[in-house]
Amino acid sequence: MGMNILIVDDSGVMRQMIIKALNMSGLPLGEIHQAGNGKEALELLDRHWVDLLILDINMPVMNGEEMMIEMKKNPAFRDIPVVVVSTEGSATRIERMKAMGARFVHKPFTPEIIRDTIQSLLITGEEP
Amino acid sequence: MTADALNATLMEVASEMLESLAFMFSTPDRTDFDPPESDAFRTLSAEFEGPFSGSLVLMAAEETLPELTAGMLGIEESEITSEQKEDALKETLNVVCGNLLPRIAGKQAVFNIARPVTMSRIELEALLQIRQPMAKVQLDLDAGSWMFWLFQRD
Repeated sequence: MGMNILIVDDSGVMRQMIIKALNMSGLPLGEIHQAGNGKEALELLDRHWVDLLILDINMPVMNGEEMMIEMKKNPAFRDIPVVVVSTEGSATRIERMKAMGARFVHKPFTPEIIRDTIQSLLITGEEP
Repeated sequence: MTADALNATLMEVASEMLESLAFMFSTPDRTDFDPPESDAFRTLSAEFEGPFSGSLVLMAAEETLPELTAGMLGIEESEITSEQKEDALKETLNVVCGNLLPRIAGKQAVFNIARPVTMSRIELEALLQIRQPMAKVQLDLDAGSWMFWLFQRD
């Protein structure tokens, strides 16, 4: 059975780029859901089972960091693995996201980096 | 950082991001130029706040957008919508801005970058009347040029 993945990014083009990378990754994929900000994503999580979250940081309405903080308050969502895919360059903010359990992929990315990061997060638990 | 070093950093980051995102190769052109008086360009601005605040403005030749969007999405240019071209350009400016600021301010600096918005050439010219850009560069691409201006807000 494939993984259900929720991609959260305010750019439709970036969401398509991530889907393209996932399709090229060889990872077993189930349903792919999309949201344009953290608030929309939390509403989607209420309605759909998700195995993995791919999350941008800078977004309108609710950013990725705020969304992760909300997820950690909810026992139903707090253990969903998260890969942050962002242009974020601040080591301070990246460390804050990692402290909440997220892995980090810097934009621009290659499909191999997406694949290796997801595999390591879900299978080995080690950094790629 | 000196003005020359800022220009070189902006040039380097913009070229790298175009190559990585859309496999588009650019040639550094010049740093002494004015906004072209033509409607064949699209202008966007990304506002940012952090250790220093301001905006990164991009004026991109309309003719370059099909190649950019097709390169990012991996689809044929004939399949591209106007909305996708706009979104691809906004995302590219967002990625350039996100990668540029830590190279200027250091990796510990935290910046909040707003989603890029469209601006008119007249608005850009008005901004240039009241504010001197920290950096400005022009890149040549196969189908036209891209110009960047980095502004710091007081």
